[in-house]
Amino acid sequence: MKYFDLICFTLITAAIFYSCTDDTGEVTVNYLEATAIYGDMDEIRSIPINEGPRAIENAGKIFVAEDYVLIGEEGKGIHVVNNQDRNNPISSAFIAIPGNKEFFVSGNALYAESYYDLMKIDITDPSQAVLISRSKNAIQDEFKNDKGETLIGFSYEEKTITLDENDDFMNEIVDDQLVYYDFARNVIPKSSVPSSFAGNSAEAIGSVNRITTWNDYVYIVSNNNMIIVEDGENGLASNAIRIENIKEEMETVFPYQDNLFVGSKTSMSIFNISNGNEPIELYEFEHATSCDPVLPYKDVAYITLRTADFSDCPGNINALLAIDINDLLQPVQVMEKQMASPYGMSVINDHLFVGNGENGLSIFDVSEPQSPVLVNSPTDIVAFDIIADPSNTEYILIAGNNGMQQYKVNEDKTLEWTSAIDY
Amino acid sequence: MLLITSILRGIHVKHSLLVKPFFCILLLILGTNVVGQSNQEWIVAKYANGIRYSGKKVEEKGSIVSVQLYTSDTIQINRTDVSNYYDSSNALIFRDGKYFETKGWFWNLSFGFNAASVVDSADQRESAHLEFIYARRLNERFNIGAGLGFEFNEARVAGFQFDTQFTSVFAYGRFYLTNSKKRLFLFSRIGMGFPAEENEDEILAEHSSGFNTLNGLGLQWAARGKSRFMLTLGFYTQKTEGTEFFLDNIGNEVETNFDILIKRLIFKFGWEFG
Repeated sequence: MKYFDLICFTLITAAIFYSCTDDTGEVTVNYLEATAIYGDMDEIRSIPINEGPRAIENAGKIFVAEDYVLIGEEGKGIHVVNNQDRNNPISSAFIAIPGNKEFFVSGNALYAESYYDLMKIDITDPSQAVLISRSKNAIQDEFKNDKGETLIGFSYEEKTITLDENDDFMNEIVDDQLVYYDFARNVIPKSSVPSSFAGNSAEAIGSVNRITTWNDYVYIVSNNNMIIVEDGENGLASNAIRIENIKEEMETVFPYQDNLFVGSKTSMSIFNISNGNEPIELYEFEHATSCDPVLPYKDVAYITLRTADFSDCPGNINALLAIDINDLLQPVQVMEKQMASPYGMSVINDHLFVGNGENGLSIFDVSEPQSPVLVNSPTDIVAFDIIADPSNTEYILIAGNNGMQQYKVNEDKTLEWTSAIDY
Repeated sequence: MLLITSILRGIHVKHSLLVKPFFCILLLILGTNVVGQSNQEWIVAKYANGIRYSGKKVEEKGSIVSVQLYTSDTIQINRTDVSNYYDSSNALIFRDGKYFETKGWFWNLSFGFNAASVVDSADQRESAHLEFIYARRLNERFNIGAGLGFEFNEARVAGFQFDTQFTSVFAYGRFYLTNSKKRLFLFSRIGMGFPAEENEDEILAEHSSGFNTLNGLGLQWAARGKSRFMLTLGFYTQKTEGTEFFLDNIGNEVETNFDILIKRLIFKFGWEFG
């Protein structure tokens, strides 16, 4: 074979090969298609906040006060449950907060998101709540369509489509990561959508917070952003400080001695907030990718890691970690205990209660905080979150599948059921 | 080079990547196979103590071979004393003592990747291939054998990415086009890819087994020892079906069922022993 022929043969063969290296085939996609819902924010803001009691349909956040329990109704508001009689809690009122998912209570003040806004509400008498102030668009600037209407949510429809290799459906809607929802026919910039519009409600049941307060500031973690709103004598400041991309996928925030403990899917970070509106990251403790509430207690921060087996959380670790935080600049992991499926937790009387979801509850003696000792682990309780009763440490409230159960904690750390708040 | 580049631009081959230097250099290496033909009168003899002679065979009587060395000195080699003896009956030998064996068994280890990803920024599908082949030289032209491959491929169809990993078992054949010191050959393999068993972190998509093929061109360099370097450029296909779950931006699960044919231009570095 002549060499010229060889060169031609080689070139042509390579060119032919190269021209057909795109993967081919068919992909069937099952997804939820999001359709944007638009509304008039001024109209929404004018809705009275006090309503009579209503049935709990889609419970979210829970807050337990001395004589009442607040239970979030996702997207609609907050139920007020009178709990003066621990054996007979009664739903007594409803605080209407459209677009609400996250809220936080500090003293007699309720801080709640409402679509793009942050509201401060006086709940000295929860059945007669009083709006103190509203920081408009504190969480996010309003996203409006060409008619001037504001995006207030999405409706979802399950769809199945079959795509061939030439279909660029996915790339069209996620190109440059400009869209909020991968499979939305309505292309909406992700940056224009408050995090409260998104998420799985089941993950939010309980007391784990994305909102907290410290000194004169309200802190909100929203995906990768931290939002800081000054809370002065006249209520919330109209201008919020948004620190973008401060940490990826933040899930929880907890204040502790001029510091914020922020839990994300991959880390626990400590921010110093001595200068309230300028948080400074002191340390980041990286851990396996997972869902992870953080609970500082004495000189330790407890973290629970949970896997995809029990939730949408990524990762493959189910564990309780203890981090020594004596030196905030150099936290050190001092303990790791394998758990069944840890969710929320609470410390009551030197005992750490860790909910294991469908796998029950684990109770640890943490009189030595760095060396928790398991003292009881009842498996006949469904426990996603544990909430201490602030006025009576003999009682705890446990969020389960169909409501919240109240238990009396006996001396030997066995639990005695007293009542339920169903939802 | 300029001429080739101009021609390729005229062809408007997809992605217009052939103008890229890497690809052109590769093609020229494969194509400019112009070193002279082997001289079949040359021999190579290796002793167990490492001493090696190569030269022109002058005469052969029984087991005694007279060999004229480069220095024009003539020595006699007793074939029964040497550990390896190569002549035209079992090798292609070149003037500088480098050779290709043409008989016996050999094995091959190759590592490859997606050639297009090097030259085309639009194609960043990762592929990593590791291949073991055990084969027999049937004659001067044909080799056949079997092998085991470990192949990771990022597949992209309709905008979705599916990470796949296969352990392949295959039959292998090779045909040499030339007998020069850089031998050009065609090769082909066909086999079955089985999904990786370990997928604990669910990094990979859940996918099925499927047939695979790899066909292409290679270039092998003659050597003075038992190992030879080679480059290959082949067209790889892998059939598979499977399911992958994604989370969209708001945490909803998206289920995808795919039935795809993975196609790649795979560039491999290989070493052949034996």
